[in-house]
Amino acid sequence: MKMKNNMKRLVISLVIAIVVALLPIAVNNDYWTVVFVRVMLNIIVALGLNFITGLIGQMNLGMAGIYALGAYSSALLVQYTGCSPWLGLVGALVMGLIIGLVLGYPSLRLKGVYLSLTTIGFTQIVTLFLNNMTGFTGGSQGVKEIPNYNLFGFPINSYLRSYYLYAIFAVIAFFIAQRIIKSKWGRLFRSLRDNVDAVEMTGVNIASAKIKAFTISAIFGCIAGALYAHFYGYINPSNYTLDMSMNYVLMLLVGGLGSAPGAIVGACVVTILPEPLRGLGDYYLIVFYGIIFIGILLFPNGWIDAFSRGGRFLYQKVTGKKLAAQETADTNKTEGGGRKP
Amino acid sequence: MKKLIALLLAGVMAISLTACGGQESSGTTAAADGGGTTAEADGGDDTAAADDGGSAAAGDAVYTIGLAAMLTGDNALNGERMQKSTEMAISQYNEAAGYEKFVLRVEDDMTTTEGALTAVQHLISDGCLAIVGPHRSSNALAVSETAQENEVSILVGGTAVSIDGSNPYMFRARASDSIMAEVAASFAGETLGAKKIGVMHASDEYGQGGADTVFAYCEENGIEYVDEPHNVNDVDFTNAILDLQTQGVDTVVVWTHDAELAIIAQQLNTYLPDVQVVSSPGATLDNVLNLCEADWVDGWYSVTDFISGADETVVQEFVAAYEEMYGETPDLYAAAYYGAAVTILEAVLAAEEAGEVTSQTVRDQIAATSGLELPTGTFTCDDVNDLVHSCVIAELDGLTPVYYDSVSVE
Repeated sequence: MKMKNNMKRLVISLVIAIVVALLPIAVNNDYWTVVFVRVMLNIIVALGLNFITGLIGQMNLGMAGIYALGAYSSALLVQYTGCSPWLGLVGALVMGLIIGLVLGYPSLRLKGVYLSLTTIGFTQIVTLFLNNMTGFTGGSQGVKEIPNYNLFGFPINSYLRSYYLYAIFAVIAFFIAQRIIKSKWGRLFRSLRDNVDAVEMTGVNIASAKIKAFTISAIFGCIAGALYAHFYGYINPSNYTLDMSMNYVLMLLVGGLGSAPGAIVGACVVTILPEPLRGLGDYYLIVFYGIIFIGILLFPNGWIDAFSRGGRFLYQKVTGKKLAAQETADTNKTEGGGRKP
Repeated sequence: MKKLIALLLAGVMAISLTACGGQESSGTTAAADGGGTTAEADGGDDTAAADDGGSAAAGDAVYTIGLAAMLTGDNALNGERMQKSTEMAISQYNEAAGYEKFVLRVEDDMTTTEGALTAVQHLISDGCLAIVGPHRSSNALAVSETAQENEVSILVGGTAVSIDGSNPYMFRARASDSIMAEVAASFAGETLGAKKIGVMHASDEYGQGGADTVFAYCEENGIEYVDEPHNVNDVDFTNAILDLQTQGVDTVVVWTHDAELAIIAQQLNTYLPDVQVVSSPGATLDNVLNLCEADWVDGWYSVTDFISGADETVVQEFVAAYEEMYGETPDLYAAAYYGAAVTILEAVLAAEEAGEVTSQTVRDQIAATSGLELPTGTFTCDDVNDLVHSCVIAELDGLTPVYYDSVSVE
């Protein structure tokens, strides 16, 4: 049975890998390649945010500030020292660690709307700092001419090359996120969301767990920020707004809270869907948010849930058999198990 | 019912995804092999902005022009005016040609750098010969490299000093901040006879850049000044104003963003009502004046790109045409981007006359622009790709900006 499941996973992974690899070649259009690069960046951020908002259940609206600090720490490190962008990425990682600690501590005392307001305040402080430290950060005109990455002498200087590099980053981020979610830490994070008092009663160090979640999240956000800076070659503070933070939360809501594949689906939907709708002119954002709204109403557990249901349905139609997981669920139902009303 | 909604949703999704495939234009050569865009020999299936002049016959050249405007986000009203005036310019040139010679493709830049890059990339993919916008300096800088790599010209409205002409494909269609602030300072010093100037400015690049120009003028001319910076989005300026009152300033130069300008107007009127005020262009805009009472800004002066009440023929013709088409008076956004659009259209016609219309020849013709009379001034491209070298001083009569003077800076 385990062997069969592994084979199935391998086939699905291969199919996804082929689609990801062939997508920009099939589309053969710079505009769409840029959109797909944005998808990869958003996947990394959404996977990071998933630890705090999805697993622990704390609403973090400061992701834009984290993203900004990641972008600036890498860009400024490279600009001032002339070092490799890869070292800038390490700088962004260190920045993520620092932010995790700074943002993690308030989360020990605050929750709900108070924590949300604190994280909004964090983004405000970051953008004001970036705007006003003109001599150091370039102020509102930002940092220009940020160099691209270079892989052993192979410059990542086209959209297509950036896409493949960032796709690798997104895949690594997914595997790390998935490993953490399925590990002891992941279970601890979920238990904090479900019943923090019960967790505390068992003697688990809640403070440490929350700070860990914030730190992992901030590291993901900072790395994505650094990748963004070296892709666009230009950054300025005006982008890092509350809207941006809300967008990341929206990705999780759309994809499915607490699930790494859900974060990926959410990032894809929220980034790609507005683009073909641009043809609708003035109404494209209305239609986009309309679809998102209806989607949330119909699939409260996220589009990933709808996709898996659809997949199960197709599997059943094609093979005439039920999936093992579904059979177990059906058995539980008939035996009086499953969810109580 | 649930199933029906789900089916509808799936249908919309499918249509949206199908639309992905049909957006590549035939008029674009690959960016990887040197870039550049050539004109189509016949009308494509692009969205036409204006329906004047009938459709193109076989063999009639059709040129696609792009507009990256802030149609959503915190500047959507200004973006709408950008779009209207550009559409008007296209419509006028199509009418003159007798068929739909020019097609406008419009993309929303969402007033963000990411949005601007996506919009410009989309327009380049759609085969635009040149692009009007994006508006903000930061967004213009964000798309600069893309425009240069693809050899497609962009005519931006960003006024920051950091747009320095280093990109041969980026042109500025408005007077730069350094020109505007210099005019404001010299007007305060020479015309208003200021002895001590208070400078209230945003602490970002825009405000600080303007303030630095005023400080330099004051130091050069022996005028005392008081520096009062504030953060973007600040709402309380009473401390700064009371400080200016204590220091006995007779003139205040306000160099900040639109929202802050309206609040400063109200608070200056309360605490320092008799002071002379010279402000950044925002004071002539409807979105600022609609937030103000008449007595808050009465008697203010503003250095701006455009005043609809100016008596020059070119301005009056533009205002009349705009009012006839849209039933409203144009503001500086409408005027500035009308100028940008006309510059591109003239460049395309000049390139056509020279025998070859590509994004490169259009770029060369834009760079050769000289003495083109437009509502925001006479467009002449200089060695840093600035097209406008003059501005207008307006006096506010209540909530109405009235033309006071035009100043050219070379």
